[in-house]
Amino acid sequence: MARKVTLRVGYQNNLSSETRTIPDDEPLPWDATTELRVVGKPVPRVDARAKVTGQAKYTHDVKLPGMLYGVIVRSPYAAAGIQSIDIAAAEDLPGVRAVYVLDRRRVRFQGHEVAAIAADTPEQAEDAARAIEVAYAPGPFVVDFEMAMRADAPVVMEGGRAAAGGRVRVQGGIRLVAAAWADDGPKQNSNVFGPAKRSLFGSNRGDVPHAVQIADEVIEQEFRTPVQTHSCLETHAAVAYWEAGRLIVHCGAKSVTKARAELADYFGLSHTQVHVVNTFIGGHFGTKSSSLPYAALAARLAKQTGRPVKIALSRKDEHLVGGNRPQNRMQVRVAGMRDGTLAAVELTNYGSAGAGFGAGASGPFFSIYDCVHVRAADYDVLMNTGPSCAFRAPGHPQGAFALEVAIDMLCARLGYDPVEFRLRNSCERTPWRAEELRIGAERMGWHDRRDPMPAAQDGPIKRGIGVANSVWYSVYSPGAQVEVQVNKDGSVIALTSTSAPGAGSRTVIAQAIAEELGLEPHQIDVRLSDSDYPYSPAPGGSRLTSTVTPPARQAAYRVKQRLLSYAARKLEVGPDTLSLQPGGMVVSQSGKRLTWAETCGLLPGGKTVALGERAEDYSGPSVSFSRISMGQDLIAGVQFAEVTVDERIGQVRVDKIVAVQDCGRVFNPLLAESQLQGGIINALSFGLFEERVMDGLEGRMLNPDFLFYKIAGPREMPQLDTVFLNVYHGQTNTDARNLGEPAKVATIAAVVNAIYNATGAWVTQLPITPGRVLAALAERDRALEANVRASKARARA
Amino acid sequence: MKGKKTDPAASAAHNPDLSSGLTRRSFLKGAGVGTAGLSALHFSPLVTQVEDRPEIPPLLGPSPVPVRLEVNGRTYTVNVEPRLTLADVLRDHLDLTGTKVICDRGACGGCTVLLDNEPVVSCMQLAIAAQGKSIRTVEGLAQGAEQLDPLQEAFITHDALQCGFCTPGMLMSCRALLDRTRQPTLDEIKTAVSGNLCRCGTYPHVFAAVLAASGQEPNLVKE
Repeated sequence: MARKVTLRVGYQNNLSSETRTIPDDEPLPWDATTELRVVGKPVPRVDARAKVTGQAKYTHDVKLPGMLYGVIVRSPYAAAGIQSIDIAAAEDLPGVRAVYVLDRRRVRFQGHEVAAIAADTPEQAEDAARAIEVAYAPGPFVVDFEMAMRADAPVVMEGGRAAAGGRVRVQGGIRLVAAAWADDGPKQNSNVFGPAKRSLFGSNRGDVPHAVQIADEVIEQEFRTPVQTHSCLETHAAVAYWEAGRLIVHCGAKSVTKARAELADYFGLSHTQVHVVNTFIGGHFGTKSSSLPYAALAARLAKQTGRPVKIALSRKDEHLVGGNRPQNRMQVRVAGMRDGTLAAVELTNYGSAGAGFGAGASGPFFSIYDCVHVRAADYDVLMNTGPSCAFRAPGHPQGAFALEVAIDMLCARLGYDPVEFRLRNSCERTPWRAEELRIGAERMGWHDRRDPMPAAQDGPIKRGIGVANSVWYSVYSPGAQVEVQVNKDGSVIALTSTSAPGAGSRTVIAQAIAEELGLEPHQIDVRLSDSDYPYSPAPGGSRLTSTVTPPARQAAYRVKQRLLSYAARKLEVGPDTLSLQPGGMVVSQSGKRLTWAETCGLLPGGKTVALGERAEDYSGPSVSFSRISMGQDLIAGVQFAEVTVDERIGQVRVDKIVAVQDCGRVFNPLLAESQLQGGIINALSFGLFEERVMDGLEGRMLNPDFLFYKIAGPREMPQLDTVFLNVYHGQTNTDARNLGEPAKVATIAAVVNAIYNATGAWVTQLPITPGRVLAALAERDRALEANVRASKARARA
Repeated sequence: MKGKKTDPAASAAHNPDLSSGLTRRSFLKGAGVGTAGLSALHFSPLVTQVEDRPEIPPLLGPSPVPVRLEVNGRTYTVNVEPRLTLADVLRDHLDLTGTKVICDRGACGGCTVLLDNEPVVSCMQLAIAAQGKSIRTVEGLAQGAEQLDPLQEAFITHDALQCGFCTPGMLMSCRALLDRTRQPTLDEIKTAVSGNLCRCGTYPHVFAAVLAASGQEPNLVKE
C-alpha cells in the first residue's frame, strides 16, 4: 500500500513542491517547511559525559578476569621467504602461555604477520615476541613507486588479483577493493594493473580528444600526493574469549556484523556462535573495516589457552598495517574555451595501495563539473608496503587537488575569475553550489580583498586567497534496521548494530526518536555495536546519518501508533483524535490527556517494540551495489583558503578557511561543525605535513611514530569559518544526508590555489613542504625570465 | 653553589665548608674499607652526589616491587615490575583506564596526567618515580559522580570531542592551564595543548571550551 505526499524541496528561497510516493506506515516525511523541536538543533552529544569523565570504555580499556596479553610478531622485511620459525626460546620465558604460528611462507611487506604469542603481562608478551626466531630469506622487493612501475621491478604478487583474493583471510580490506576489478585476468607479471574497468563514481562521457583539439587553451600537468596513514588514536584492538563453544570478541572493528561474519568464516562457525561487541571506537576515518587478522589471532590464542586474550597494535604497527591513503601520480589535462566554458577534463592516474588495490582518484573528475567530455583512467601499482584501505573520501582529496588546481591553471591562462568559472561550469547538477560559492566568496572577501593578479604584493611575505570545489555522493544502505523499545516505566531504548567512532551516531539516532516521541534526546538510551542487534552498516562512505535516522524515526513512529491506540482505549476516544505533544503528553482533540508515564503504564506487557527499516530513497537510487546505494543527488560544497607565504624560506601558513557545505538536512549543527572542521583539519594535515617515508634500501618505514610522522597540531590551526546550507531533497522521512567525507575534499586545492594567488607559483606535489615551495618559486622565476627573454626577442624582431 | 653538582671533584677541593660537611674523602673514610664502600667508589662516578641523597637506592627489578601511588586523593599499593610506566600502572593495575596510551613515546599527549599539579606524559614516567607525588587523572576531575568540573561541562557544551580518545589528555592539559592562568588568551590555550594530538580535528572546539570555562567569549576562536 502506498500513498502520495507533496513535499517542499530545495534550498533557501529556491523551494519547489514535489510529489513522492511513500508506504502507508511511513511517517509523513519532514520537508523544508517542517518545524522541528530537537532535530536541526545543536544538541550536545548524548555520550559526551562518558568521554569527559574517562568512563567511556574503548577496546583498549577492556580488561577481563584472567586476561592474557597478545603480541603479533611481524616481518621486518618488505619481501622474504620464511624458512623456519623457532618458538622454543620464547615458550620458555616467564609468563608465556601460548604461541601461534601463521601458515605463511612468504611475507610481502614490513609488518606482515608471522606469529602471535600470549603472556600474562604486556611486557612479558613483548619480551617473548622478541625471542621468537624467524629464519627469513629476504628477497627482492620494491617500495618506491616509480621503481615499482618499471618492467624489471620485482613482482609483488605473481598472479595479481587472484593472489590478492587469496589473501582475504589474512589481510582484510583487499577483497573489498579488489571487487572493483572486472575479472581475474591472466597471470600478471608486472606490478601495474589497469585501467580499472569501472569506477564507483562515474564513467567516461563525450569525446575528449576532439574537445581538446578544438579548445582555445589546454593545460597539461602532473600532480603527486604521498601516502597518508589513518593514524587513528586508538589502534586496532580486540579482546577475545571462548565460552561454551561460542566466541565472544570485543573488537574495535566498526562493523560488528562484518567482523562476526569474518570470524565465523575463519573458524568455521555459525553466526550464532560468534558474538562481536564494542562500546566506543577511538576513530576510524575509513580503516577498522575488518577484524582480520588481529581479532582472529586473539581468538586463536584464546582458544589455545582457554583464557581471554587482548591484542592491541602498537603505534608502529598501526602505521605499518593499520591502513593508509594510496599515493598517486596524476596526469591531468583540462581544456577550456575563451568564453569560460570547460571543454574537457582528463585524468590518467597511477596510484599505489601498496600490497593491495584501490588507488583510484577519478571521482572528482566525473562528478564536480558539468563538462560533457570526461575521460579518466585509474591504474593500480603494487608495492611491498602495507595495503591501503578506504580513507575519508577515498581518492577524492588527491583527485580534487589535481583537478581543482588544474582548473585554476586554466583560469589563469584564460584570464577568467576562478569563482566565476566555477559558477559557470559546476552548478548545473548541483545548483546550490552557486549559492555556496556566493556565500563563501562574501565571507572570504573574494572580491574586496583578493588581488586577481598573482604575487601582487611587494616584499617576501605574500598573502593570497584561493577557492576549490568539493563533491560527494548520497550514499546509504537499504535494509538497515533500528529497533525502538518503550518500557512500561516510560524509558526508551534504541538498538542497532552500527558503531560510534566519533561522528555522533548515538546522538542523531536519539534525536530522530526523541523528535517523534516528544521526548528529549538524552532520554533515549541508544545502544550500538552488538552483532546481536538489528543490522545497520558501519559508518563509512558518509552514509550513517542518512541510513539510520529514517528507520529510527520509522520505528519510533510505529511504537507511537501503538501507544496512542492504548491511550485511545483508556480515554475512550478515537486514536486519530490523539496527538503526542512535547514532553510525551498524549492529548485528545477533546482536551483529555495522559502523561507519557501514564501512557506507557498502559502497556499490557513490560514493553513494546518496533522495528524500522531503511528503504531505498523515494525516487530510487542512481546506482546500487550489494549493500550500498547512491541517491540521485550529489553533495556539493566549496572551500576558500587564505594563506601567507614567506618566500625567503618557503613556509606556508594557512590563515583562514571558509567552508560552505550542504549535507541534506543538517541534523545537528553543533556536531556537524565538529565534523566539517575535522575534515578540513585532516585535509590540511594531509596537504601540509603528512608523508610516509620508506627506506628504499631496507624496505622499511622510516617514520612509524608521531615524532617524525607529523600530523597537524593545535599550533597549526587556522581560523575556521564553517557555514551550512540546508538542501532538502525529499528522499527519506528525515531527509538527512552526510558530511564526513565531503568535508575533506576541497581544502588542499583551495590552499594551493591561494599559494598561487600569493606568489604566482604552482605547487604540484604534496605535502607542501618549504622545499617544494622554494622549488615552485624557482620554477616561477625561470618561467618569468623565459617570458622576458621571449618578449625581448619579439621586440628586437 | 652551582659548581657543587656539576664538578664534584673541584667542589670538594675548593669548598671546604660543604653544607653537609661531607666530602668525597670523608665519605670514603666514613664508609670504611668494607666492600660496600669500595664498590660504590668503583661503580659510581658521581659518588659525591650522596651529599644530596644520603641513601643509595637499592637496585630494583626485574621482579615486581611494591609501588605506592597517590592517585586522585586515594592511596594505592601495587606489586609491579619496576620497568612499568605510570601510564601502564594506572591503566593495567589500578583500572584507571581514562588515561589513554596512544603513541607510547611522549609525542601525542594522550596520557597526560597531573603530577603535583604539573602536566606530564605518563607514558614517559616510571611509576616508581611517581611515588610520593600527588597524581591526578581524568577520573579525578569531577567532584563525585554528579558534579562535573566546569571544564568538563564546557567540553560537552562546545562539543570539544569526537571519538573521545584524546579527550582525557586534552582535559588534563587544559585543567593545568586554568590552574595557573585564570583567563588564558587563545594563544596561551594553543600553547597549553600544543603537545596534544587529536586525529578527529577537534582543536577549535577545545579552544572554545577553554575560553568558555574561563568565563570568556568562545567565539573568539573564530576571529
